[in-house]
Amino acid sequence: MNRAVSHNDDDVRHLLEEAGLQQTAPLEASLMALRTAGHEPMKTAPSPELLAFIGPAAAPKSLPESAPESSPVGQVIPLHRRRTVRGAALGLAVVAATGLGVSGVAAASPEFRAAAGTAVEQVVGFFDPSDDGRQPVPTTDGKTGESDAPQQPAGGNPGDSSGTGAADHGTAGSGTEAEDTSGGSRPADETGRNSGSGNPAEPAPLPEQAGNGAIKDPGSIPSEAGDAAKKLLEDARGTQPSDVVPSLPADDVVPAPGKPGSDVKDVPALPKDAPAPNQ
Amino acid sequence: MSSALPDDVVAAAQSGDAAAFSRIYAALAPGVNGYLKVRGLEDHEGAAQEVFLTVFSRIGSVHGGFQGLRTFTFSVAHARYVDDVRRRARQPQVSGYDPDTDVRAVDSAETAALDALDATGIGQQLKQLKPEQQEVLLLRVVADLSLEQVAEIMGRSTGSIKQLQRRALLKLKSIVEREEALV
Repeated sequence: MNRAVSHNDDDVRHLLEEAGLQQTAPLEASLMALRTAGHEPMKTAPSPELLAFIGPAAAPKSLPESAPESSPVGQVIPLHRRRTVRGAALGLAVVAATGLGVSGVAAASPEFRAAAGTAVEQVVGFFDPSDDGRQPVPTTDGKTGESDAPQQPAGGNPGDSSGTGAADHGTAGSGTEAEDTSGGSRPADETGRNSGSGNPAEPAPLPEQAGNGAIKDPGSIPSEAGDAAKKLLEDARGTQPSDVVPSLPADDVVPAPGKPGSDVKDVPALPKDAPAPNQ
Repeated sequence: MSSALPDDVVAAAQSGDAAAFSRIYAALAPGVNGYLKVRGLEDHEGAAQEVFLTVFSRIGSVHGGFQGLRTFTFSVAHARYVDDVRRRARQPQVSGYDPDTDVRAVDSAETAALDALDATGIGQQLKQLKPEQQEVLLLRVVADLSLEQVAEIMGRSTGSIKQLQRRALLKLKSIVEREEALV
C-alpha cells in the first residue's frame, strides 16, 4: 500500500492540484486505495476469440500460463416452437365456440331462425336476380329432376310452368303449334286447371306420370289434359291452318280419371320401352 | 500515467501484428478490468475481454496513437457498463427471499462490488457520491484519462467535467475528514 502510494503519488497530487484542492493525507490515501483497487491484474486467461488476435505465443506473460479452458458452451439445439399447431388449435377452438354460440341462440329464439332465413333469401336473391328473391328455388321430390322436367320458357312464372305442362299433356305429338301456344302467356288458371297437378305453384309433373309426349297416338290420350289441349287447339285454329292440327276424339270416347261416368281412376303407366320425352 | 506505449505499437496492431495486440492488452486490460469491477459488473473480467474483442476488431478506425486507443477502449468499456445496467434493469436477478440479505433499496450488483472495497473504506465513500461524480473519479483515477478524454467519453464539455471532478473531490474530502474525526 505504501509502495503504491509512493508510485502513484504524482498522479494523485496532480489531480488534486487540477481541482484546486489542498492535498491532505486522508484524501490522498483514499484516492490511492481507489487507484490500487482498479489496477488489479487479470486473473483469467484470454478467451480463444481474444487469443486469435493476440496469438498464443504473444500472450502477455503477466497472465496465468494455464491453458484456456475449453468452451463450456455445447452445441446449441434450436428450440422449435409449435406455433403452427398452436395457431391451428386456437383457430379451431374459436370456430367451435362461435358455432356453439350461434346454434345456442338459434335454438333459444325462433325469431333468429326466421331472420336468418330471410337473410339467406336476400343473399340468394342478390346473387340470383332472375328469381327476384321472391321465392326460393322450387324443390321437388326425388322423382323430379332438372333433366326430366320439361323446359320452361325463359320469362315464365310458376303458374306458366304448370300451364305449360298441362298443354304438353294435351298436345303430345301434335306438332309445334301447340307448344308455341303453350309457351305463351296463357294464365295458369286456364291451362293448368285440369292438369291434375292442382296447385299452379308446384313444378311441372313428371313426364312418365302425365304421359307427356310419350304417346304418339293422340287418340289414346286418357287424361283430362286433353281438354286443355283441346282448348288450346281451338284457340290456335284461329291463327293456324286447320289441317295442321289433328282432330281429337270425342270426350265420351276417351276415358279419363275423374271424369263423370268414367271408371278410370289413375293415369295408366307408360310402356317401359317408350322413348324419353326429351329425346 | 502507467503502462504507456509508443504510438507505433498501435500502428503495428493496425497492420495485424499479434505482438502489438498482446502489448496493448497487457497495458490496458488491468485498467479496464478495474473500471468494470468498481462499476459493479458481475463478470467484469469476461466483460473486459469482450471490450478488447471489440477494440481489436475496430482498431483500424482508431486515430490519435496510444492515447486515442486508450480513449476508445474506455469508451467501449463505458458503453459496456451502460449495457449491463440496462440488462440488469430488464432482467433482474431471481433469488429466494431472505430478509437479512434484502438489498433492493440500493443497486445490488454495484453495491456488492463496492462492498468488496470496504477493506479500505473507499467503497463506502464512493457510494455517498452521485453517479456522475463516481464516473468522473473512476475514469480519472482508475483509467488514467485526462479531462478531455473523460469529457469525450461522457459526452459532456471539459468544463462540466472539471466541475464534476471538483465537487466529487470536495465531497470525498469532507467524507474522509468526517470519518477521521469520528475515529
